Amino acid sequence: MINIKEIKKQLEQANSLCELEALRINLLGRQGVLNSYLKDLKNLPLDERKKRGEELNLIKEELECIISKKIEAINRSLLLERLKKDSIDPYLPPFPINIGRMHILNRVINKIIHVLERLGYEAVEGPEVETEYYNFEALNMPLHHPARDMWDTFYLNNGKLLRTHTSPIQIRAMEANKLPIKIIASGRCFRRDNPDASHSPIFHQIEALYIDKGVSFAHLKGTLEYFARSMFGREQKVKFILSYFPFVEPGAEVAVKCVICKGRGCITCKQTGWLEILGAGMVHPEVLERQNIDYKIYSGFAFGMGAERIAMLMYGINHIRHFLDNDLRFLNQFKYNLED
Amino acid sequence: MRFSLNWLKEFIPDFNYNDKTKETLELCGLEIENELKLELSFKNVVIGEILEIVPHPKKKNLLLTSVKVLGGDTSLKQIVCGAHNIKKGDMVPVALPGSTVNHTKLEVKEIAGIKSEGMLLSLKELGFPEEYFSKSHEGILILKDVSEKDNIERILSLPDVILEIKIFPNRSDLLSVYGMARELSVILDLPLSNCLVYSKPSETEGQVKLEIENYKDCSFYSATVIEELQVKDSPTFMQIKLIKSGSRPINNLVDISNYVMLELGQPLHVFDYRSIQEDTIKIRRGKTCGEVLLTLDNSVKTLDDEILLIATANEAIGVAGIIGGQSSGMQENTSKMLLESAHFSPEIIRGGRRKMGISTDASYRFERDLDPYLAELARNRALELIQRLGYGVISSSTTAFKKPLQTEKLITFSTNEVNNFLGTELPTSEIENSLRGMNYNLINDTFIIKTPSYRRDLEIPQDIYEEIGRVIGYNKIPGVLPPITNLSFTYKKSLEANLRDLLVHLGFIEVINSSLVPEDEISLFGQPLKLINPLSKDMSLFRSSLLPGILKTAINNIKFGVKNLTIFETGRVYRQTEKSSLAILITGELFSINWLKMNIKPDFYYLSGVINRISEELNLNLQIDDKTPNQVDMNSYDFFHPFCRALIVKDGKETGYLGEINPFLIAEIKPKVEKIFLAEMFFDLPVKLENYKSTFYHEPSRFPSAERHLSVTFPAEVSFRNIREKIDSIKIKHLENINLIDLLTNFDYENKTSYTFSFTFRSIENSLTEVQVKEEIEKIIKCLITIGGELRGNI
Repeated sequence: MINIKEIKKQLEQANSLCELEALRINLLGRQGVLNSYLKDLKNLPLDERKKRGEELNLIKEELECIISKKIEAINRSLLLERLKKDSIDPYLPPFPINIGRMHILNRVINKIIHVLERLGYEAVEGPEVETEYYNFEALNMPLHHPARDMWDTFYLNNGKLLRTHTSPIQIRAMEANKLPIKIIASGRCFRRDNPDASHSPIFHQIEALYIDKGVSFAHLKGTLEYFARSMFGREQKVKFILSYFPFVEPGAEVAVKCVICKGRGCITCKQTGWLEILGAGMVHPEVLERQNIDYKIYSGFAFGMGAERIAMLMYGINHIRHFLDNDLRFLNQFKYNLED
Repeated sequence: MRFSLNWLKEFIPDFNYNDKTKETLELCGLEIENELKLELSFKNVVIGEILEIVPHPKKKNLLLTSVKVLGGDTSLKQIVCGAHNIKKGDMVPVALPGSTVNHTKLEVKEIAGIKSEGMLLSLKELGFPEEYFSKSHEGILILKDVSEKDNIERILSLPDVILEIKIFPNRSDLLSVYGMARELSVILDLPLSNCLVYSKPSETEGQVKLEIENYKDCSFYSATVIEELQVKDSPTFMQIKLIKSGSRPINNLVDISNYVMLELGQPLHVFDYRSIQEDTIKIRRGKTCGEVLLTLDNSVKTLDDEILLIATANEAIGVAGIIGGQSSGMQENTSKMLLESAHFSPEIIRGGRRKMGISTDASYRFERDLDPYLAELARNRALELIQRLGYGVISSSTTAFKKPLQTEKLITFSTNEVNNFLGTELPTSEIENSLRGMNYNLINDTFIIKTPSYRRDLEIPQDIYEEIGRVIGYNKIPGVLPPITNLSFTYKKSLEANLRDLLVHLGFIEVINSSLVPEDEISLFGQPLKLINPLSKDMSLFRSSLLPGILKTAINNIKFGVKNLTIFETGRVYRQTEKSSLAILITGELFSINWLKMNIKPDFYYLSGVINRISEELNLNLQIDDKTPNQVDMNSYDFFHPFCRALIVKDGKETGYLGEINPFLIAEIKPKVEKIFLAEMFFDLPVKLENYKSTFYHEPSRFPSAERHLSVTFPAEVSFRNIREKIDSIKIKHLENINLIDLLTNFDYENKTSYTFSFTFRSIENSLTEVQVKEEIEKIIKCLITIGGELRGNI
């Protein structure tokens, strides 16, 4: 009789596919144990034959099942063995993946543009090499106007100059656009100033211009309040300090609560609690009239700021030279999420 | 401009300078840029008369003085002094033992072996900081026109505050003590006291003949001749006011003209009468035929017809409103002078000033457009002072002017217009209240303002709205967001912004370099745009390429140990016209060094891959080409390695270049720099994305692809470009992609190159059969054989 117990034990103990195959052939092969019993069946009486036959078939099925399960188990352990070679040490240094970065100045400029685009302003640009007309004359500063001294200018050997502010773009927008005009202009500007911690002969400006029917000073103030809150926090307030720019009337310097000390007074705000961050005003009727805009119907406002100053305040940068120094150890400090 | 608070208070006695008034002034545009407190730092300082001066017996450079104290005991004090500006008979401030100077008590001291019973004082020791007043005074303070009853505190008008107030160029009316006081009285609503005394000379038939060439240049000229002059030092009270205002006392007559300029804002000028030939004063433009003038600052100036002159019958004696001539300057022994008070046009003064490169207190005021009526007033004020102080006798006064000096300026506006402009709802009465200091008529709700002649800045209603706004307070006007209308519906990011974003996506870091570059960059980069007035030689050209700047950035970073760089810059350059430019630089390895030893060493083909990616993503149609560049670009081309460079062509036009930097250019640099690969592309302004096409969706095929590799050898003279063009010229069905996957030069020791291609085929409609693919591959083989290809293997 077949010793099932013994066979199962042998199968259990087999731990390679070869061993298992040998056992399988011995048990279930054509010359195998089970077949020899099946061949002997014909010598038995009919009723016994039937009973015995069923028995043997059950055994055969059971053994087949055991063998296939065993194969699966051996295969799995072989695979695991192989995968083990791939094991990692999560504490080893990760691969130094790179990331691209926009320069911090352009990121600040972009942020300002995004804030104003929400109010419907369209970003535009203009040339850096400008004419006297756009830089001064059209902005209500004819030749020999003493206000020209406010902007120490670089003159070029082709009769042109390097723009001292982005305001010439206002004039180009007035020439090109249909009314109303709602633009935000940004770009590089040049002033013949000796460099120090907060001044550079090369700097970047951003300015907005809005001309429409019925634009009032209160609208300028409301826009600047929205702007200051978007840039520096919802608690922000703005303060107007009367100033003079020939292309606006009235003109003002606009201050926000010091972003460093929140208005308590510190070195950055010279203990005043306020920081002047931009110049603003109502567009001078003379400027509109020169561009054939009827100043009795249309009015407008403009405001502008230095990108470097805003960036320095936002990130506590203490010297303007960092922006053009391009030390990657500086540029790489401004992480992706700062762009928000 | 510097203002003495005490002087201002002579006109506004109620002015209380504190943090609150300071803030009010600042909000109204009067920024106090600097504030210097002059304290009473001394006690019991007396006035003494120097009776004798002898040299110090033991030490050179010291003097030994005998001083008698005014009103004190009769004993003489022996005082050692180091300053040499004293002489016998001078009155000086004296600190005796027991008095306090600079908060310290003084004792009898021995100086170089000699007892000194006190100290003669300079302004510095009396509490005037040297660094602030050094230009105005030095040495012992010599007191002039003082009496026994005076005391030093009162003479020096202490304590006081020196305010440096920033004045906008449109407010010439604030360039004087009186004018500033008048403004403060309006802002702070304080009464203004006009305590000034004038002396109007009788207009007789003058001794001087005046000829004004053009009244547009000079609308008013007054010449007063003063005789029996006594030229000496001016009284100390006046000197102190000048010194506090930053002006240096010279002599009584010059000082009076400066004093009146500071007080009223009108520059005056005095000429030594001996220089006035033929008693004639001509106010005329310079002659273009080489007329010259030796000016008071001892330099020879060439004149021309853009410069206005004061001349005699024969020659120029001064530049009107800017500077006098050397020959007509006041001499010590003069007994007769001519006092000029005039109104010159701001344009001619500014033009002349710029042309001559001299700026004076006088030109500063004239070019800011003064009140035309001020000249007469200031003359009368000066004459009063001269007469009262007994410095001379007026012999005649001549005036020439064109009537009227100024037409009346009227500005009309309504309550409604004010409110529309400011965004307020002010009642008429509040507007009226805010117009203090203005002369106006109110008819119903309409104001008609007659502007004061000194307010040169008031011309249009907006100027008055500003006045109303500042009196009300801009910070009290509520802010309102304008309705968000007029949105721009054509939102398009500029090409520059797109390039920046794209390169950041590709892992590049943006840098920003200066646009102003040194002169030695000329040789490589075309026609330079030169600055006429550069700040320094290092910043004397407007850049024509971004490459020198980005290369400098790379080298600086390499020096700091950052050797792997993938950086870019966008910015403006000038190449015959202004253009927008993009520069890319790569050097070192792509990733920082790592234990996995995984890295990429970017090279020319990496860079051309970046260009290709940019071209594809932005639809720019850029091609890389090896044809010879045009002349302008040829110079720049030398920037590159002679055998590792190429042009970037856009729509058939050269638009930039790329390659390895010419090793000669970086050979000298230490530490040694590895290979640097650069590219630059130029775009015309305005930079727009003209090929900005919307991307339409394509259904990706759901059927499997078939990939076939093909190795073909070609003679070396067949370039890859020939092969690629040949393949592109035939129509291959279902071809999805061609990749070059292997390249062997000098293959089989023959002068041949072997290329292995991978072709991917796929149909949108069904799975391709072997027969279909084979048919296409054979087409390709057949065409490659026509240009010399030989099949190596076909997998």
